[in-house]
Amino acid sequence: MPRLEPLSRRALLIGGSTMLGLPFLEAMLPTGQAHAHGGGPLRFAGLFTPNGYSMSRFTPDQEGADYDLKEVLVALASVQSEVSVLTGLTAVSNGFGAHAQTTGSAFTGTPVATPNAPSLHNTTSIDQAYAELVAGETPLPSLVLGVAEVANPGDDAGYPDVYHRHISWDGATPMARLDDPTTAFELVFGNAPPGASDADLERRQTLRLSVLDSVLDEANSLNASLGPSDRRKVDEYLTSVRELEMRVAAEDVTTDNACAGIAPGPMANDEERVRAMLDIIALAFACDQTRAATFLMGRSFSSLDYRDLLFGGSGPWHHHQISHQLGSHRDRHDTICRWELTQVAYFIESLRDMDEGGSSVLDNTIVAITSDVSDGHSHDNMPVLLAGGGGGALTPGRHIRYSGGPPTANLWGSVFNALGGNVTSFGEAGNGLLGQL
Amino acid sequence: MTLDLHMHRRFDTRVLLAAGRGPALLLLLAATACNGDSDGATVDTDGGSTGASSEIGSSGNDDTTGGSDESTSEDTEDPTGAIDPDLDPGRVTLHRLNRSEYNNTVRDLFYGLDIAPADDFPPDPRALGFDNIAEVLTLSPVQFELYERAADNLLTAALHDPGNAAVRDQLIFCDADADQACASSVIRAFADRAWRRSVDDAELELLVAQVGTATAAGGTAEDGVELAFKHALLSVHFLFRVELDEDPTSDEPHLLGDFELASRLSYFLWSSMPDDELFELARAGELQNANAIEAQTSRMLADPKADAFVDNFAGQWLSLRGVRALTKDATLFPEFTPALSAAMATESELFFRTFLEEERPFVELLTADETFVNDELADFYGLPSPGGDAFERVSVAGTTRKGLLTQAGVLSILSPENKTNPTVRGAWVLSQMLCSPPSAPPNDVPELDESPESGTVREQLDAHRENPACAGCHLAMDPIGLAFENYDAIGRYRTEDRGEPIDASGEWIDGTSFDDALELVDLLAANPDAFSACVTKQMLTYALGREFENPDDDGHIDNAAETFSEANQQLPVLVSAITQSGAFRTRRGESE
Repeated sequence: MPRLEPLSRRALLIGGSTMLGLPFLEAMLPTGQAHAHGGGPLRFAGLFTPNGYSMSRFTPDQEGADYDLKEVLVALASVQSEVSVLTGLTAVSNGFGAHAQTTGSAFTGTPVATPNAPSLHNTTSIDQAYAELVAGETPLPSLVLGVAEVANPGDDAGYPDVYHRHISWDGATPMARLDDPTTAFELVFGNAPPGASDADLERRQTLRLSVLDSVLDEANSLNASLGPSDRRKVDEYLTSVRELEMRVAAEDVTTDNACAGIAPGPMANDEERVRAMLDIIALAFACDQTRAATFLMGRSFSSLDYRDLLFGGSGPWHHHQISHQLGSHRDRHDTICRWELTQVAYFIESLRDMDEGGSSVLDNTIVAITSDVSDGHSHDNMPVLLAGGGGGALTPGRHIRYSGGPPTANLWGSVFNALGGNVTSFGEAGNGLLGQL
Repeated sequence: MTLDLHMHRRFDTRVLLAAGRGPALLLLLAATACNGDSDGATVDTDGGSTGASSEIGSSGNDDTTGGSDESTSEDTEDPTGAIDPDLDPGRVTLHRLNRSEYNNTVRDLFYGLDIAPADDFPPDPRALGFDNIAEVLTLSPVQFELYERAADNLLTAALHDPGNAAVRDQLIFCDADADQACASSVIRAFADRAWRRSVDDAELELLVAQVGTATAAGGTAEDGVELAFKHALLSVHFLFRVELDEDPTSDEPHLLGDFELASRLSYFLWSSMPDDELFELARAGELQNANAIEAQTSRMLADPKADAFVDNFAGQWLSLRGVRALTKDATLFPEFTPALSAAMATESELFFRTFLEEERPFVELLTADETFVNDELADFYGLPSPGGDAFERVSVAGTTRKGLLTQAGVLSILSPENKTNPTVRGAWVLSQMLCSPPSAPPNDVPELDESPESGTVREQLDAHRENPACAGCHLAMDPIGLAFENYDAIGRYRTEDRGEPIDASGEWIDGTSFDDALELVDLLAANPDAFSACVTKQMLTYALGREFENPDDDGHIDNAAETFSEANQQLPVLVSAITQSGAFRTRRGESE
């Protein structure tokens, strides 16, 4: 029988309009739960930063522990002992276009369908594979978050844009992504009406379940009269409704839970928005609301405009455009990458600073960070970082150089096994596993 | 102005009904006959032979259709209009409402309620240039949870906000607490509209059962009605556009159900649910004939809700959607303010709209010597000020502008923030105007050499083409893109770039040479058939939300494009040819 954590729908009523702050966490942590490896539950977070890195300013000269921090990686100084740098891995590519396909394949290890193919092709990403492995253990199977998109020109070689918008996939279905921190927060911590009594909350739960149950019946009976493609669509619907129904059914609406957050208040800039999202993931991990998460820190063709955040009055500000003019703007590209890694470091620190009974949340987590390209739109020698202890399975804080350019798919196979999986390869491009993580 | 599609042509009536058309015809007849709610779908086989001698898409004799929007007895003799029985209608996968469709549908379902819940939904997947392609409109759990929140928010606003009392009174038109039959009729009325068809008794029973659930939990009957509304809004029948096949495993085409056809029309032209008139025609079985469809198409295009067609079809096909949100390098382009980019978008939208409202050949999209400007945009173009923020139609004859491709919005959206990118502009013309997109670039494209000694953009691209791997596609794209080098990254006219005079001349694919963009545009327009076939393909893709790539699809494109061309490229005629076509009006199952 799956164990579901009770989550109070009322606990957030204590929240004010301040920004979600991690210091609150320590008081809210569930008391230590025993897991196979002795610490808290294992978690996986996949972070994606777009448009690659200057690899000569990213890659340490030294291998092993105490590697040297080049001018981009220096942003990770505060967490260096928690982060391994993996170099020499190759992106999973089908040969067309620089960004879309390798965003879509970043965590799946499968070449996506070629441009203009009539239907989507991909396989389940590492975060969703892990979510399936621990299905039912937490209220939310996974968290899929990102930053709001800004319209900028550029379509990558005719691909459906889902490939450059989505890193988290359930088979060929991209997982809907939340870009608004307030919505994401409410999804994790509930949005019960203020002032609701126990009876109100119980009634609300009953009525929600009644509707979900009925629409499931309806869709099941519709499914019987459909052909295969249409059934595929209704199956997605059925999966989605069932998941919500399970979650609502498992809520103990009348028991206060010590674990809740403070709803995010107004956010002044993109950095605060990014950090609010990273806080939500950290909080959801700490409270065991979910164990799998991804965060898309922008997509290659869109998203953050660095005018206000980093560069002020003078352009170029668009990350993608800057990444196409490395001849004249490499320093600017590096500045953006350092800013991205500063946010990554913030997330790693947050996980590290939360104790869960003798080990930190970070000790029991694997955080993987990668991009769609490496340097100048190449797919070789990808920038990959791996943080956290994975419950003892990982030895972080080293620079590991791989020879022969193994596909990133092989990394996900090894990560999946470190999380309790048992595979010999991952994704359609996987052809083995990586040792010595 | 009023649109009168009958002025231009009538559709061929021969195709489907001529004798000896084989099993497809027979099944169509059978499916039609079993379609219980549809009188209008009754097929009169005699009607078919009347047009047997005319060509598909021939302009025929306008008088024979009566030239009127009124239904005549001839309508029922002409139920299948321009359906070409030799062409597979293709398959439209079950279509989830996208954000725009969801917002518009709830606006209409809730009688104008001013709330756009889908603005908080994740962005819609886009494929083939549009965000309404059913195949990629996937659904994952978070999206469904957002649907639940949206339903709660909608019902709270519609039923409990005193400011929306008028909406509430239309939805709950009797006293549900006092009268049991009232609850049922209110729920039926809502569900019929929400699901865009007549719900059957078993479905109604399931919905009405929510009243019992709510009262058992201590609520009122009206709480129960609200719960039933929520049920309707979360149902697969609301969130998806459900179309059914009598035999879901059969490849044989059949006419759509009456209500299914009403929804295809409304989502194509309004990105929303059918209105009362469409519902009534569907209910009465009076929609399933070419004349009725033509009349409705014309009526719907003239309705303000057709703004959605401009926003969603033209907005995506012509890349206008992103123009308002564009930002540019303010050091280089301080004048590129939100007000200016908004004016650029409005200009092109108003310009496109003239083709729906006026009888003008669509090829003028490329060559028109007039446009729309307000003071800010006039100043930007160096045109006389119309005097205010309002847009006025002005001549650009004899200036550096001609048609859409030289309008600032398109030129801006196809440029990065700080410079032009001729390759992107060239590729866009090939894919959007001619539907022959260059093949995808390899994944490791060498950057252009932009060092100071690298010369002009033309010289940089010349160097790029020396790489044989790049030459193939760039030989097609670059001359087109370079023709627009006289327009900078915000579409401003210029004669020099970085101190060097601009050479915009080049050679068209067939070897014809041109001096600049204005001459290139004329060359494009000189082959109106290629343009018209491409417009047709784009519109069919949008209308059906599916890919048009196989030989049968080519047949659909050819049929509609021929009708379009013969009507001197009047855009409403193309819209109408599509709504009457077999691709639009019929569907089939698929073998397992």
